[in-house]
Amino acid sequence: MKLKRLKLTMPVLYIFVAAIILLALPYITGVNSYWLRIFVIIGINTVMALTLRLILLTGLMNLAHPTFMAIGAYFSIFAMTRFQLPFLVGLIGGGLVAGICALILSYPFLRVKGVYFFLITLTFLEMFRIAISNYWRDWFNGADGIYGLMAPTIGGFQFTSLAPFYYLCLVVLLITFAICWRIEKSWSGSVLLSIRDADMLSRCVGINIMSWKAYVFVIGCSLAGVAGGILAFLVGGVNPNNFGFPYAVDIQVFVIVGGMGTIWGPILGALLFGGLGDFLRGLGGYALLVNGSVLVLIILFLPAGLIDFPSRIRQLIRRPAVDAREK
Amino acid sequence: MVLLETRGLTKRFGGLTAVNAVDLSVEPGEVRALIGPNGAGKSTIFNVITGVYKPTNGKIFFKGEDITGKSPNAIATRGLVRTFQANVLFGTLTVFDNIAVGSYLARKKGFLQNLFCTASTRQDNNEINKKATELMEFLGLDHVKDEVAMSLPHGYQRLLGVAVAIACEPELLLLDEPVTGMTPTESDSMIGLLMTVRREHKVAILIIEHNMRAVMTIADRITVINFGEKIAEGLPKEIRENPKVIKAYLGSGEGL
Repeated sequence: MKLKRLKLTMPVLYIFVAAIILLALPYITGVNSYWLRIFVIIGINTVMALTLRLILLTGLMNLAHPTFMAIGAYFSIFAMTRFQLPFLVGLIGGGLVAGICALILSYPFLRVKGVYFFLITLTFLEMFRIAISNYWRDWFNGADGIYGLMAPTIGGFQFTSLAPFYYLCLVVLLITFAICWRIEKSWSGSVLLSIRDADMLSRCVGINIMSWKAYVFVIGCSLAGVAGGILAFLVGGVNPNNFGFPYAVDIQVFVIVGGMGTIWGPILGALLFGGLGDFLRGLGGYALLVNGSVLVLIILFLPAGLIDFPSRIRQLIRRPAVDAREK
Repeated sequence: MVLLETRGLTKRFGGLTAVNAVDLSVEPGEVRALIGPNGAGKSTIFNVITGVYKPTNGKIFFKGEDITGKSPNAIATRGLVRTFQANVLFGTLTVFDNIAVGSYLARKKGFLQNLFCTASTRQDNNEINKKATELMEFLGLDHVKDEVAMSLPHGYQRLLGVAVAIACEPELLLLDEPVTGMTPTESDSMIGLLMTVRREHKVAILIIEHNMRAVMTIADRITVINFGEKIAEGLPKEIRENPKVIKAYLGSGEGL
């Protein structure tokens, strides 16, 4: 009886513990530590991975995800340095502008699917990066990027340590998570997956697949834009190469290695791989070797991603037992 | 009133005329069969009617409204829903989710309402749950409710294809070879189910089928297509005795 009650309260307990850890993290690591910076970056990566997966639910692998992040980042920088707008306005504005760009681009982009969508977004990613590296130098300052941003303020509160960045990122992450969770757990999730599985059948049961794809594309890209704004002010500046092909691949890796099947996959992927480069910094040039090997091993042995690890282990343990019983 | 009407429907693929000036009409509540040898253009007619292809020439009217060239989803929302010849299903979704997506039409709610209105979503979910459960019980799919569509045996996949279409609550159901590859027993039970659906939901059916036993049982009237052209139309009995139809299916015997 007692055990039953304990079981019922277990999820609540988990959430409670998780909330305390998340809220207290800056004071565990120290408000200005190297580790806290890594955690904020992991948070930004998690937002990117979650939104990428949201778009991926319809079967579209958006390689241009960093570009929308860049749009948000540059907008929030311009908003502050050129238009003297408050930081928060720039941040939300960056998300909106990224969303508007996504809305306009969804018309040409979403007409194609599969590998063609992959290619068209790859092209856009590189076009944007090369364009801002070479043109409009007085705005984007070429490949050198824009650095030396002042610490932002929200309503008179100055971001003097990393802790406010951490909490800001946490809020954005929780909003992103809530949106993705809500979409996936309601019937919208099934509709999105149905478009991935058989888009013609979806259309023939009356689903306007263009607008459904556009919804998730715009929402995903706006949140990527907000993440970009946080990144810009966390680092104190950005350059076009932050938003190139390597980062696009990194986000895909978070999603695929973490596991596409559930919402927890990309979170796990970003948590482990978003910081892996930093964890392995001591290995110098060998870090990439380790990184790559881990990737290959995971893809070979856990095709459904790291999130599948516990059930795989359970399978491996159960199998010998079943064999023995059969004999 | 005529439910569905095509006037001079023509579809050309380059130099090939797949459908040539076909006039077809389906009355409300009628079961009309569309038969003809392989490659006669039956499936192309379906694809043109449901907006998958745009017709080269001709007009399509549904409930008196011109739906020529409209998108498949726009046509489906007007109450004209089809199944596919191959087992086209939402492969990675469960049987229940397949039917739930099928009943999307009945909801008339969009993505944003679903995102922000918790209460109405819960109500929707309850309604979908109830309807889907009823439909699954009726079709005998309830014991595979949580199976992934891809892993179902062929007969169940055909049945699920029809279930997804019925879940849309159409006024006209277009079935593309619903009993293909089924055993005679399976095929009989499918035909029985279709008869019941027709009776209970007052739905008209336009069916393509090669299984003549099934066609003769279910169809009120039959239209025969060969080389993209309509060669005969009438009651099952008349069609069976029509020399043109016999020639199309068996050959004339000349030159043997």
